Amino acid sequence: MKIAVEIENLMFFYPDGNKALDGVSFVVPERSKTVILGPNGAGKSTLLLHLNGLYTPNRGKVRIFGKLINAENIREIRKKVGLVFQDPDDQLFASTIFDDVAFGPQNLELDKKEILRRVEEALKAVDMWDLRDRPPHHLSLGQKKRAAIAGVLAMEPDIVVLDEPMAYLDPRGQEEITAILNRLNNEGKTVIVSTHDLDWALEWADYVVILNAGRVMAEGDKSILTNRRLLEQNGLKAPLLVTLFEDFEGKLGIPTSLKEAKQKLKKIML
Amino acid sequence: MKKSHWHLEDIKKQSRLFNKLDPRIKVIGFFLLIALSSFIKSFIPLFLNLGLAITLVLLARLPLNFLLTRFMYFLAFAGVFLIVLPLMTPGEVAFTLGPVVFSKPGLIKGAVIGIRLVTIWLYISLMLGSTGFRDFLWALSRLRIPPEFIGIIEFMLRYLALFSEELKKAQTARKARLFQEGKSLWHKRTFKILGQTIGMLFYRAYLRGERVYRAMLARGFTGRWQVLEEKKIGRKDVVFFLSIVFWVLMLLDFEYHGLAWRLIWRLLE
Repeated sequence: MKIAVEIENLMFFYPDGNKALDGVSFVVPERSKTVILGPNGAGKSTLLLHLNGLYTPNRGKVRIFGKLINAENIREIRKKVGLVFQDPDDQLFASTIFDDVAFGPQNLELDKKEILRRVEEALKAVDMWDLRDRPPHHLSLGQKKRAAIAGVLAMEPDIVVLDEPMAYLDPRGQEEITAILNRLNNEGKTVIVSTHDLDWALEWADYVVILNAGRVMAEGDKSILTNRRLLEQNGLKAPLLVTLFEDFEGKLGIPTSLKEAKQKLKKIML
Repeated sequence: MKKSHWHLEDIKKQSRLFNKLDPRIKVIGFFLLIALSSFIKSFIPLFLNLGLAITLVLLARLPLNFLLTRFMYFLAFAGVFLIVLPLMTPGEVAFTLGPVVFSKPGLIKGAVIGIRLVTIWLYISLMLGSTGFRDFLWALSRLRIPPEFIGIIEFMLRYLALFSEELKKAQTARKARLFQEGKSLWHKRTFKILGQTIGMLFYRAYLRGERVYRAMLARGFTGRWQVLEEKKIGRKDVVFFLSIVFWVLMLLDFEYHGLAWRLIWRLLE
């Protein structure tokens, strides 16, 4: 298993002395669909800001594809790790969506032809090409989120990190974002998502990290999401599938996806 | 098409005649016309200039709704002067309305400023409506306006909409908790709530600014603003620009009795 991100004993204090991360250590496998779970205030967003060097650890190390993040390679790291912010209004600042998506490639000082290619490709990947001349404040939240993802995709990162991409989205918007994330993963990118939507995490993820009070409480494949006690101890609610199947665990086991649950039910019904 | 809120890129697509011209030429050209409008004082050149502005707006087919909405903003700022000037300027009395006295020089001054304002409003609307916001900023950057200044305009327009939305949300939340503004201007609690709201907006703006900057850094921002597009100045642009220069010189000549000729002679000497 190749490692995309390696975090070792990461500690981070806010200027007011508040400890946000308290010795976080975990790895993210390359090309994985990793979910970082945790209640509000667990330190998820703070952790993500360390992944492309926006925050500097007070102690500990962050490695991207084996390279330790430091002042010398920060540009290289930001090329490799694309960070999509929770609130798209924090990210979309230009007068049109096209200009905003072009912002990253322009900072990479690519030639004009390459910038235009990347912008077109990124906007088409999130189905926003037709809205390229719109100013961000005229878009719906779902469209803004897709545009913010395009802004990061245009930098062609190997790792895409998204902070709560499903927040405030309607079911259709969530489906659209999920489809984009799956496509990115199929293209070979490592996708890291922070969320507290466990139903979605159980369905989508193949690697899970549970964070609480700035510490990693568990990490591994998504079977850890079937451990109700662990989840509840860390301020999380067990996914619906787990609640539904736990009474029949001895007979049916607990499914880790809707598809698996259907198969189990079909087996006993037919 | 009736709309309550206009989007400049839509206006540009809808407008005729000037929308294909080079944005740099348009910005300089209309800037000259705006500067001219603020110099002239005599009624004939003032009306000629207003006539040109109206003709150009009609030719450009800018939507009336768009023009009127902008005019309301304009009036909110400038209207006060138009009302106050005839009252404050001393001189021969034109007429009285009860205790209020309107002076003749005041009315003339008010009319001059009123015509200037309408003309300038028409030229600004024409410039922005036929250029669009994106090309307008592009033209400014190509005209060597400092990138920090352009950045401020860009951020202001982008985030003003967001902050007004936040303000509306806060107002709705207050209404939902039965808050009522005081009936007198000196109502202490209303002042306190207003102060808190403004304070909250400033604080949120500060936090938002931090997050926006972080998001920019995440996409490799190094402090340098880049310009992607290049455009070429064509024959139509030159004709448009020279026509404006001719018009400006003609009206200046009218206003300052032979100024244009004096300037041309000096250039030729």
